[in-house]
Amino acid sequence: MLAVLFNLGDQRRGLASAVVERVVPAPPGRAIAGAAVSIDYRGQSVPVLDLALRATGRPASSHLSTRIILVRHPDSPGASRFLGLLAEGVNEVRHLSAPVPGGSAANEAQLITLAELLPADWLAQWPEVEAMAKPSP
Amino acid sequence: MKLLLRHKVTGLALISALTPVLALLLLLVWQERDIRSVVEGQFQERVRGELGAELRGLYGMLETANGLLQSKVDSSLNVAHEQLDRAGALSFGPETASWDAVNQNTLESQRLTVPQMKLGGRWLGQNTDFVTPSPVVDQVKQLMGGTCTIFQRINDAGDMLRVATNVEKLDGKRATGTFLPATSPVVQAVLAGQTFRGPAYVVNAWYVSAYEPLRDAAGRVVGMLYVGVKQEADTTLREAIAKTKVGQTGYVWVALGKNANNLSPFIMHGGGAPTAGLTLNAVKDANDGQPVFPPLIDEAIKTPGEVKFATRVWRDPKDPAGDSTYYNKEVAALYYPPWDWVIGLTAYDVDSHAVRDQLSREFSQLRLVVAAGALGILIAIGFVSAFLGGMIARPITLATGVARQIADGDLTADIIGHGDDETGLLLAANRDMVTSLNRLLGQVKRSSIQLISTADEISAGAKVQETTVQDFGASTTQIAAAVQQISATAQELVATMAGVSDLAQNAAALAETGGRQLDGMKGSMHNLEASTASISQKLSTISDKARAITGVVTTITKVADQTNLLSLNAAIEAEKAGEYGLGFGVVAREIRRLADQTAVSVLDIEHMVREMQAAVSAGVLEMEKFSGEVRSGAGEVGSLGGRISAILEQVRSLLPRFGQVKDGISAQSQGAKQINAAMVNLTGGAQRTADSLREFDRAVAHLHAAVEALRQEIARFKVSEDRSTGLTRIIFPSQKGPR
Repeated sequence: MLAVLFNLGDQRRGLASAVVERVVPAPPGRAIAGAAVSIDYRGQSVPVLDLALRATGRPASSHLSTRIILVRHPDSPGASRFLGLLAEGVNEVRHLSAPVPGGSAANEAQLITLAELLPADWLAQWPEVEAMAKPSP
Repeated sequence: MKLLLRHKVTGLALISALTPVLALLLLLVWQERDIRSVVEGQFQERVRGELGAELRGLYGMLETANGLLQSKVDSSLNVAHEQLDRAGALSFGPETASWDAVNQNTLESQRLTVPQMKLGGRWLGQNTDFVTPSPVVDQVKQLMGGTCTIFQRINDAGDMLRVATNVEKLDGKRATGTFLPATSPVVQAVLAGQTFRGPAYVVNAWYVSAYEPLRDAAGRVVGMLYVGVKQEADTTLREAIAKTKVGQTGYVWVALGKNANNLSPFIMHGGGAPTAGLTLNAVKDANDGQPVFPPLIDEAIKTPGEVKFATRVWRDPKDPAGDSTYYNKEVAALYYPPWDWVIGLTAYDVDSHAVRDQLSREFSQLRLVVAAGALGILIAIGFVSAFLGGMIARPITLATGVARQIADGDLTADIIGHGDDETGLLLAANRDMVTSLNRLLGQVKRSSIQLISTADEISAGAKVQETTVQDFGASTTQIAAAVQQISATAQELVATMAGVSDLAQNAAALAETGGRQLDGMKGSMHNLEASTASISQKLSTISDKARAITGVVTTITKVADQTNLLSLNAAIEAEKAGEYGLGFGVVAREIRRLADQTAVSVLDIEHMVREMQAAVSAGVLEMEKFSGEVRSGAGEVGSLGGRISAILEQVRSLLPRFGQVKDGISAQSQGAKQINAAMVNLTGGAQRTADSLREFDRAVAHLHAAVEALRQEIARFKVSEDRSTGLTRIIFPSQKGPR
């Protein structure tokens, strides 16, 4: 499947394009560590999680390729709930195969699920997001 | 202990005297033994000769007696025959007779029964008493006076039983009924058919006897006929024998031979010891305790008719003197077989003993004399040789004493010659030696004294000179040192002046060159200033341009970013559209690639521009700095030029004055050098003189020391000077005897 690649720490990961609504440029200025920044998308406030901060402890650097991946729950097509993931190196889409347990080649990007990405404490702050994060039954 | 010459001489003499004496003594001892044995031998021979002669005499007597008896026996036998014939024929009747037969040897009786023995038909009977007559035997006795017996053979073995006899037993009865056993040599001979002749012991006496066999008609021996005559009818023979005397203590003895043993008694013993019951083995040799007689008797028996001798040692316990004297006794024995008698003689060497003692006495005396003589000779020789030894040794001792005196340093000893022998010559030579030594030493003494005084004078003179020279040397040294200093200072000055002159010249030259260069430098400075201004300007231009580029680049970057974003979203939408979005997806991918390329190029440009800008900034800074420095430098150069010109003028004016100074100093320096050279020469000369003087002094000191040593050596010797003659004479000490 087609995946949007991004950097997670020093790893290259891919998020299934099925859950991606859109990639939008990051807002100028830096996000406050830990706190969620929200952006406006189609008139609603979307919370943004800084993935780079979560992975490395440093806030995402302000490269041109630092973008926000807007995701939505895959089971609610046309749903209006979105989540923004701020990540570095978001400049590529690629076809990736299912992740092989035990890892793949070093420079091969690996698929990753939302569940793996989203931390529990963050989800707690956004109950509605938590619902999104849960895997579809 | 030292062996002096005199002792050696004495010793030599004594040994020479002693040796023959000892030899003589030894010879005496040797000879004594020989002589003694010879004398012993002679004596023994003599005694034996005597004994032998006597014994042979006795032997003859016995032979005579025996011969007489033997003829009597033969006569008796004839008579017995006749009687037998007259009595009738011998027969053994059918009647038997029982006998209690007694073995003559063992005295055992046995009962037997034999046929009656008859003569002319008449039984001989069993008569045991002398009252009743017995046929034949009584008649023989009547006629001849001897004994007669008729035996009957009682068995096959041959035992012979006396059936009729006139032999009287100890109890006074006839010996009828006794029998001779067949084992007896008598019976053996008779049974063999022979007539036995020999001595026979019948009842209690020895008889000269004859036994004849009696035969029957068949010729078988059936009995025996015996006649016997007593060996000693009376004691006449014995007395005659006993009278035999040998020397003073010799005696005769008789013993039985084969029929006796060691325990048998002597038949006769004429010795001083009790004779009754003296057994043959009783008398023993005093040395080895062995019986004397038995071995000798055995020997005599082996050689009948030959006298045998033995020498034994005997101790007389009855010696009146009380001490047990040992005597040799000669024993001679001679065997007379017909009677089985061993007759012997024993003689003591009392006589020879006396002679032996005499001989011993003579020998001892001889030994004593010789020993005494030897001792006397030794003593005499001892004295003589001591005297002679002294005579020999004395001059040598004297010479030794003199030599010792000379060695100690005393040359005042006197030597008197002792004749013309070796020692005399020795002493004379010593005397000459002493004279020469004295002369020599006197000379040496005088010379040494003179030498020493001369040496002292020279030494004193040398010392004075040395002191003078030393003073002189000291002064010259001082002058030389001062001159040296002057010279050195002058040299330094000249060198300094030369140096200064050079420097001045160099400075002038440099200043000139410097001045020219400065002008050149000023011009260059101005040029530099202009150049730097233009460079700065150009750099500014570059900076502006770079800024412009940066602006463009930013724009491009934005475009690329947008493009990339667009492509991503496009791809996402395309995916969502599924198959409918395929073409769209391709397009989106292409756009993305373009955007990527652009982005990369933009990055590069950005990088380059940044670098350029950095370089430009740095360059501008540098240029500004440089420009500042150049400006100030140009200013300095200007002022510097003026000062150098002034210096130059000054230096130029100095130069001629320097030259004058230098010349003056040079002249001074030369003069000082000359003085210095002269002083050096002078000092050297003084030094050499001082060295020579020191050497001289040292030599004198050596000489002094040598002479002193010599004087000390000589001082040991005492020498007397005779002032009148100028010669030395040896002083004569009192003469003593040899030390």
